[in-house]
Amino acid sequence: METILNDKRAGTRQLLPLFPSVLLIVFVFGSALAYMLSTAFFEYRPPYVVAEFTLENFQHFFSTSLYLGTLYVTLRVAAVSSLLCLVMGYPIAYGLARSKSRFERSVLFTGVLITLFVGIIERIYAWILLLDDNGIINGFLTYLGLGRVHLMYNELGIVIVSTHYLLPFAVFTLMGSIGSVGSSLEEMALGLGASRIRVFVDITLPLTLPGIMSSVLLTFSLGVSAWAIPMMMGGGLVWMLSNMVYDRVVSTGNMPFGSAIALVIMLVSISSTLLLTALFSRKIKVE
Amino acid sequence: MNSRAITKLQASIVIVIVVVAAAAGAGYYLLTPKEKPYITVATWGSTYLDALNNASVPFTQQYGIEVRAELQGSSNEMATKLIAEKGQPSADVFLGGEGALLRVYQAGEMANLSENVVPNLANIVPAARFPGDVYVGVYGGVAAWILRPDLIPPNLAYNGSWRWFLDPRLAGKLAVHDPTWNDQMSWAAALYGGDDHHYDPAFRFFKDLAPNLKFIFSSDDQATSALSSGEVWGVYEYGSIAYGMAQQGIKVQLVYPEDVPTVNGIKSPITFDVDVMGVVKSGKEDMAYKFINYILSPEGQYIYDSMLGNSPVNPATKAMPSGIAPYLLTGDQLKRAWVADLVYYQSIEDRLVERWQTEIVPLVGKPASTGTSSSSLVSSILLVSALAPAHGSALARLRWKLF
Repeated sequence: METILNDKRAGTRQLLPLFPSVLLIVFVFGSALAYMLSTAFFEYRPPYVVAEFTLENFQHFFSTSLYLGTLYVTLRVAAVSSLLCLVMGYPIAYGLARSKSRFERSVLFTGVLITLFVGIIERIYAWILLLDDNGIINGFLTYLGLGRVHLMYNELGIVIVSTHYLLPFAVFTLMGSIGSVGSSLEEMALGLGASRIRVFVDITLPLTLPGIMSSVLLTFSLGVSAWAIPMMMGGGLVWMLSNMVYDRVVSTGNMPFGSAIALVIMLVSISSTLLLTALFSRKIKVE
Repeated sequence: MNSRAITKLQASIVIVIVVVAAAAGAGYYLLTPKEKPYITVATWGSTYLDALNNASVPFTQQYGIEVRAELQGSSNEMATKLIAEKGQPSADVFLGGEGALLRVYQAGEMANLSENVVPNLANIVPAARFPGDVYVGVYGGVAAWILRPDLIPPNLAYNGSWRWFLDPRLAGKLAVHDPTWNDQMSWAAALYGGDDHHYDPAFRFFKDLAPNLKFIFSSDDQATSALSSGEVWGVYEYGSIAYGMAQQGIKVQLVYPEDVPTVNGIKSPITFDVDVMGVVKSGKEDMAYKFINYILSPEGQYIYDSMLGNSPVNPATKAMPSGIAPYLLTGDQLKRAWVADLVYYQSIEDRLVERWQTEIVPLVGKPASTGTSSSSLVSSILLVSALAPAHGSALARLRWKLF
């Protein structure tokens, strides 16, 4: 009995260092969230926010095609970027986790990591140099006589830059998952005569499903809340929900409606997370 | 060494650290020179920051008050921040668009000006003063089209009419600001028979202009970047932007169409805009008044406005450098200067923005033609090769708004 009590006390003591950070998170983020939540139910009578309870902001959001369309675009862009990150990130992560050559691993690791050292705005400007109608890619296509391609101010441009931005997050998440699987199972299967494809499909892929889920969730959530990329690559023609929040809060001062949109983004992210977790968990159990 | 000895040693180390830290802190406090009184001015960066720094030097010498800058991406952004900071503002003086300062004033976070505390208010042009002196215009600028004449084919040269901007040969070659800028909306309304209280005509104009638009910008940087790279041939912007680009060696032309219908009794009006400065309730109002008074003085006006390429609001200011002249209004043009009603605009802005996103945005770049078959083909190949591994057959079901 005494041992159990001592263990409990030791456990409590071990948790004590967490207290300041937990308090900070609850206080700072919690209060911001509470402020946002409450404002979303207030009324806006230009230029004043009136503290009277209303559901009008949400009613307006869900009854206006503009906002529903923007929600659809946001989900679509985030989903496609997330899937592209998975498809492109998996081989890189696999190489990083499995390569026996230290040089190869260093090159891959540095290549992925280095993109995180450059700010998002600089990266977007670099992409603009590449993608705009007078940019490097179009210059090359024109030189080949293929004509110009509109790569900016549309969803394609946003997806390209988002994928580039999110790729390192996907790679590092997947790398940990693939690394933790270990190569002995794969080697045994190969030894028993299975082809490399069979080994990948039957062993590696199922065992790394939790990592795939984490990667998709992380990149999707970041994609849904993207602001700078659609702002600069969308050219005022493609809107995502975060841009709507910025526009309503900052440009027109309509804090309640901006908060309502922000709340919708949050709910969408949480529901997507729950949905994906449920789907993947089922798949993992089946496997 | 037993555990009690270890505890004593630990306690001694902690005491030594505390004593050393306290001594260092006290020493730092005593040795640091006393801070000069200072004010913080919320301003845009780039040339605005340079202009502020230039004007601050003589001001600090004269009054012993240091001027620090608080940079803002947009003045609307700063307005939101100052309102949220309620009583603990990060700036004492706020430079920005009238709309942004109006919001802060309406939130009760700004102190009124008066000739008692800012004597130079008595010396400036009436267009720079506002009811109740809630803030004051520190320079005047025009909203107009900035063109790149070197990119426009000779057979398409600008002909002085606003109808020129609707020429189908300009498809995808122009860009405009988003509808949060009331000057642009008011000018567009004027073209189709409206004014600064009737914006339906503005929407009709932009529907006609939409095929010629490449994109819609929300910051000056986006406009200058696209104009500099030659991505577009013309943007509707502030005259001072043209001055800034000309200084970088880019050939630009500021044009005011002459055939705009009469509005409020003004023939062929030119939308005129003053950026304003106001005092934030921060406890440093006295120093802030002194700074604004200095900026409104002939000396302050020359230093500040000549750097920005804008018109001074104090007529006693000496003539601006000759290089700026092409970007300032002449006497005749000044008679056509029209200051649109911003207070009314702000009361309906939210609805106008929504309407813009619903009615205008879908039409931009959707003209008579949607691009060459080769470009569509290449785009499709690029898109399919990029997405096929992820989507497989589901790709075909996705409806993409690409071109």
